[in-house]
Amino acid sequence: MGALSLEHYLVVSSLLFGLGLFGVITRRHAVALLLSVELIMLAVALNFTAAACFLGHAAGQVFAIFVITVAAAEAAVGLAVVIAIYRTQQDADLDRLTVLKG
Amino acid sequence: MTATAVGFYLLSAVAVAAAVMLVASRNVWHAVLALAVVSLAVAGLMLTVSAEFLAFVLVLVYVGAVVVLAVFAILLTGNFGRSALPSSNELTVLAGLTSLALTALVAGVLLSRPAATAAAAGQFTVRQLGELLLGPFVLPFELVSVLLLAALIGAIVIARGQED
Repeated sequence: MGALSLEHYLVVSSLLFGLGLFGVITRRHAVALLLSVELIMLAVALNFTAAACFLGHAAGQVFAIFVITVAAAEAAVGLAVVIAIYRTQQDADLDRLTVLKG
Repeated sequence: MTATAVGFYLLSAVAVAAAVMLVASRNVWHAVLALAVVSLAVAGLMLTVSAEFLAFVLVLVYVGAVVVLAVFAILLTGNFGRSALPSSNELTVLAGLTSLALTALVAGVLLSRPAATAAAAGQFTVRQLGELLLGPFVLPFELVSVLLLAALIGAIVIARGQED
């Protein structure tokens, strides 16, 4: 235990990243998969923020802002694609979306 | 143990538990709710490293925008989310092993080295962030705003579909 260090935050962040990776591989619902990607982005943002604080440089927080922005853009486009796919295929189960499989 | 440390361990536990719920729940609504909880917990963790501005931005963007977008997407994709679909596929074991190995590797490396930085060093004001954004980081800042604009226009165009 002891005082909090940068490593504490990095470990929590890696746990969140690992869970997000697991979700990306295993989720079958397209929206749930996108949520797992958001979880990964969240872990990265936490990483940058903790590094900014403990290493004493504000640039980490600026990077975290960029990560959050990219995560928002990714969510918007990803969910729009899910809606578009659902409109043509009437399905959001990734294991059944095999139109492009050839 | 200081109040910050207590808060850190509590918020970390909440974040990890909600993340487990996010990837394991069979109901996609529960996954969305779990993402909101994870976001709030991570915002709390950011407060413990005195990044107040980022914490509020995170709540605004994740809970306010991403979660709401996901709810709309689930609603627009019919009743699919309500049925108890199998939340995993045949890759579950392999995915679990991969994620576990990666996390264990990273955490092991982090914990095996001596803690380099014991005390929180930096507390930054919004003014400092703004001066960085419009100073050394002005080019990435403009690029990311163009990216966001393009993504949002693209999302509208993709989601709207053809209007014959």
